[in-house]
Amino acid sequence: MIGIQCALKCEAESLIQHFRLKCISQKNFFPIYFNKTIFLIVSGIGKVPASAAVGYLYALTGESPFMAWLNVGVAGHKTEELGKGFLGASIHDRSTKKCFYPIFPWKLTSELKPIVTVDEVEKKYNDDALYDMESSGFWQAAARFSPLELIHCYKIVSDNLTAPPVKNPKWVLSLIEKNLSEISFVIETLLTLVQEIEKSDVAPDLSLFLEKWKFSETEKIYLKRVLQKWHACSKESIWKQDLLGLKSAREVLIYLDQKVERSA
Amino acid sequence: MFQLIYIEKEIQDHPRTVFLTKKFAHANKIVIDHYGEIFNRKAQNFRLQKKQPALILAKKNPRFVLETPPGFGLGLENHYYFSHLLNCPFDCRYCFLQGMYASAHMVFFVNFEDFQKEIETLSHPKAIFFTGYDGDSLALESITHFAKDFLPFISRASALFEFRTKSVAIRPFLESTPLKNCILAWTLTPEKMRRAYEHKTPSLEARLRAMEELQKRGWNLGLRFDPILDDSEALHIYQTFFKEVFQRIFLKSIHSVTLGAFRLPKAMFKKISSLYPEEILFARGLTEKEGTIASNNKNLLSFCLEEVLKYVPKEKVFVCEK
Repeated sequence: MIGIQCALKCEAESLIQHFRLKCISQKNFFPIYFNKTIFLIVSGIGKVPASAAVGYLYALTGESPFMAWLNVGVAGHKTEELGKGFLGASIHDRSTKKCFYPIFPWKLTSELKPIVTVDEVEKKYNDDALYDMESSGFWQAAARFSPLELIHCYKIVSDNLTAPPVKNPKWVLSLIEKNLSEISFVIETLLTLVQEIEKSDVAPDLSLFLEKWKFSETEKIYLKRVLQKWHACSKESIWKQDLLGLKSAREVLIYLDQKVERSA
Repeated sequence: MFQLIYIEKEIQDHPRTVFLTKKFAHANKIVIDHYGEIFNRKAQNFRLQKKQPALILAKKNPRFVLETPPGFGLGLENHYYFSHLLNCPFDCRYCFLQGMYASAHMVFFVNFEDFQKEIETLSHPKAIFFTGYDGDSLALESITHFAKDFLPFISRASALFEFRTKSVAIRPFLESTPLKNCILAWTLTPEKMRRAYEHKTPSLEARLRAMEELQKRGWNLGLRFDPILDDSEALHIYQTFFKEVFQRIFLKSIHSVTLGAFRLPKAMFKKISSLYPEEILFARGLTEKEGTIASNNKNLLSFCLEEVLKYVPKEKVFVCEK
């Protein structure tokens, strides 16, 4: 699963159409759109709304420990060509002076550029960086919930020294559309990483055990690990008559431990 | 090789940094204040990062040289280690670095000259300095030129030095005259276990060939059978393995042999096994004792020791217990 955060509806529109996202409900605090694996939230401008939107979406979608996160939006740059897209190489929060570094565990096809998150619209563009108003808030919230490798920002240049910022939703929509294929690639890549990490964390048959016996929270953690061990050691089914006859969760855990050790 | 290089501001103009930024002209470069900003952060996933690690160029600050933990050694008066590299490009499933570091990125400390100054103050004929503790000594030789740059220094030093590796990057040693105070030590594992657990490493055959080349030229070799890895056919596998190794590596070239069971500190074991829950190595055949998780097949280590002693006198054999 991936959570995409956009500040503006016009930044989200192309993605909503491309991925055929459906609106969850207009009654939410933030507009949210989704399909099977993608959730998109429109936060409003600024790092505090971005941060709040990430937290809200995380809670709403069931608090998955391996959710990917992508911030998509426009940004200003001194000289870069309008419409050019970049992945954030670093995120510097101008007001707090904090700096964050995304991690790229895949072969990069996008160009990288540092992002500076500002509180007011930037018009000077002093550094060779993309100036936005959300990335820092987005990153700090998402980093509380997911591994850092799964959190990224994709920014498209909408203004520079010769073309000042304009409030034109159609213009913004066209910029995002122009970068859809690269954004889609990043989304697919992140979803693949999520699948991989989720697959490695799975404990087959866990739910069947939880249905049949009553485990304490500590025992559940132990059960998950011992089932993973069993599946690392054996391709056989664990479900044998002698297991089914056990009464307590404790007996089950002892039984599983012994099965694992004898599986050699 | 690296698509992303982080560079500490302070060493931007260091000659090794300049060399590497030219060598990797197409890589993205990001200037940082300190490598810890990238390397030590929480919530990183070592397994994911290992797919595409970045290179971090940094300056090592004191202390450059550390004493080895108890239980590691070759019977000398002082055993030290130093690390010009944190992490390595290989992906050995049993490696403690997966549990020690939050990140799989490779940190390369470019200020060799500072290491050398401190080594000089500690160097004496009954001291040994190990490299390759926090990362393979030679695996990134084409980038770091670590061996190439250190060999002239070692040739002037009174202490012993050990390079420990699984790589076959032996060119600096082929281009140098053999040094009596230098041990080139290979971690060797039977090919079946190598395939299962030492991902991205040169084959046993390639390592033995590299060792044979150096043997011909008169270098001192170290054999590191650590960890010894269990298997349903382990006794037979190790017996055949030792026979092959000692047929090809002659006693007169062998400086020392070390052996050790598979073992990890409990905290590291917990972290690594949660990164790779599907890994059989962490699933069974282990016991915990005094904060260490270790193979419970004590017979295997004893068996291997007996086998090794058939080929090498006991004065040259050391068992790592911790």
